[in-house]
Amino acid sequence: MRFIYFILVFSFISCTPMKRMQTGISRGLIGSEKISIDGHEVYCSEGPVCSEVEVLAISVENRDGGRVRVTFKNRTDNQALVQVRLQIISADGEVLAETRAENFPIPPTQEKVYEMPGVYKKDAKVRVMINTAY
Amino acid sequence: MSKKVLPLIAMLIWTPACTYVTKQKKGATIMDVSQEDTLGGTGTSSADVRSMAERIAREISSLTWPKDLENPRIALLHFDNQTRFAFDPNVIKDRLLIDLVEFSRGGNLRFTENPEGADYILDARITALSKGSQAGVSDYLLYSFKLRDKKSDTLVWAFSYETKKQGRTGVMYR
Repeated sequence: MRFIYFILVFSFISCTPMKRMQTGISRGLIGSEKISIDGHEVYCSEGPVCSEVEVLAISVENRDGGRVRVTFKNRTDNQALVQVRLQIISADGEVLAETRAENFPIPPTQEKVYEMPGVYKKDAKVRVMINTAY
Repeated sequence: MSKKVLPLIAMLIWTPACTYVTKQKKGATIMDVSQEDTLGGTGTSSADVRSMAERIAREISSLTWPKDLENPRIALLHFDNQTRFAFDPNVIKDRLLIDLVEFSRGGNLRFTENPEGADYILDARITALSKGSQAGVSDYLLYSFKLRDKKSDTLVWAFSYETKKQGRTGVMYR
């Protein structure tokens, strides 16, 4: 009986570290990923997103209020849907502008350009954040 | 008690104690506004409204305006919903007006809902191409935005936002 009480107490005490371990393992397996492209940055919240949908190029109109273009490729045979968000970052790492998360569908095996007008700041770095869309 | 049963008991106790505490349990789920809900539907979603408003506002705020206009005034007028989805197009207009003000902050653009004294008129129309069969429905929605010079009544800028969604019937829009 004592042993059961011990297990009961132990299970409640150990729940937080246990949960941390569980989520840590799944994070390790799924993992986020950072990739550098054309001097800009791509951040995938989950590694598999970047393995299914690839960023081929990032180009900008180098002026304040310029346009940002991100070329995606769907490497799968499925209709892909990702959630894209852009951050414009200064040399000091300050986030100068940020767009809203936008659902971006890409047909199977196709390339498609995501374009956001009026967001760029001269000589800044773009961070493309890609999430799974729910 | 058998030693084989004890780990089983421990598991049974541990499992419910360690469920996700951040998981929402109440009847209504509170969602991120850019998230698609699980009800489906092939019409306009909150994510569409937010995305199109941001794009248009950013585009308009980065346009070059005639130098003789010190503070170009843009009036947002009628947004016409001609689709089968019975939703209020003012949800797009209001989101757009707020975004225009936000993204043009520090600039010389002015916005109004009154055409009196405006230099430009911005209006929009939502049209659709809808298909349906026993397998489901498909809707292509075209949101077209037009900016007209009020004096000359000519088009100076236009923008379109398009969605195509396929799904099942039975989702109601208000």
